[in-house]
Amino acid sequence: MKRSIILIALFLLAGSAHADIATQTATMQAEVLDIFSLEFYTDPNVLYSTNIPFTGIDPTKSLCYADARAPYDGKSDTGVLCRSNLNVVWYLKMSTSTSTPSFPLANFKYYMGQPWNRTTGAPADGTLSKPPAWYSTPTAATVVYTAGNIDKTNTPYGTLATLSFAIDPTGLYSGVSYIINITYTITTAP
Amino acid sequence: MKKILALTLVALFVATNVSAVTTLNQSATATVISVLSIEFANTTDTTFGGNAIPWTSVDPALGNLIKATGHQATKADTAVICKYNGASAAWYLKMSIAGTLAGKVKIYMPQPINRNTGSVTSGTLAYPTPLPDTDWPVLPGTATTVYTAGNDTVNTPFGTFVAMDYGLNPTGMTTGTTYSGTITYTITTTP
Repeated sequence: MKRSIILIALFLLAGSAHADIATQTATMQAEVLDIFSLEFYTDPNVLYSTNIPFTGIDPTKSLCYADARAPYDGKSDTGVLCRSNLNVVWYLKMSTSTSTPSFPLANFKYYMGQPWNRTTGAPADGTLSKPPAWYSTPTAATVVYTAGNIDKTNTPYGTLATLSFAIDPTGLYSGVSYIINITYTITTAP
Repeated sequence: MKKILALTLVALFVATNVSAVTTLNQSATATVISVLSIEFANTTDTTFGGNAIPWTSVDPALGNLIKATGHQATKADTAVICKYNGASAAWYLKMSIAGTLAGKVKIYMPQPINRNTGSVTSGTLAYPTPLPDTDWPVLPGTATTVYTAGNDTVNTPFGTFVAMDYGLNPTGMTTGTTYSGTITYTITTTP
């Protein structure tokens, strides 16, 4: 009987030791910088960044492509990478101007396909202002793409918009160096 | 305290409504190769294209302006397409005929058409288009400007369509003789 009481006492002691809980709470805080950026992107299929060359275009063609380009070659002239973590809708705008007065800007055409969200690895969920086709480039800053819901925060890899350009050589002179300036803007204001 | 809180709220509100804008610049540069070319229009647009223009079994009694055999009233006998994109000068179309038909072939030229715009050009024909039922000028034997470009000086990519009909003056031609001639068309920036 004495032995039993001792065992029960030991058991109770052990049981009460097992029930001890020690808890520690750590507080973590993370702060993320605002990202709202635009940069050129190139790879073997996205050829040019700050300058797109059209060297010695053939004026007897109805549409002339940039150097090293051909129709349906699967490449793009340029890519602009739009990054934002502001979680608001953003807009990609484009405008063109020329410092060569004899160049008719209506002859400068662009083609833009659906952008690619590099963070999700899927087509971006935003909206092109015009379906993919050749259009004259706008002279005033004009929205060409509106971010979708997923695009609103697309860090770290951003949304890649690829564009190709072509020149309608109608009326262009030989012996003249034409310069066209393209400005891309990413903005939260439509 | 209330005032400070209100100011802080206003400041926060303003901060969250500032538009974010980032800009990137790019240029495209273009140069264009020089084009000064002349070619025959095809037989869809003309009766003979670049082929020979025939007069077979000419009846000298029909007068001094006999149209080519197979001539169609709805098409020009032939046409040349002239293309040019030089910045500094106008271009000129010159023509001449050599051979035993020299001096016997007459020419009718309507105002050329700029194929880029589909409209007649403002250039100058050296031999104004003859009125109906009037005689046509004789094609010169030496290279002579027949057309000077106007608003079609730069006309790439599609060029200027210069059409011609030809007529034959059989005066003095003898039966049993085959006559031939070679017409040369030249586009040049030298008048």
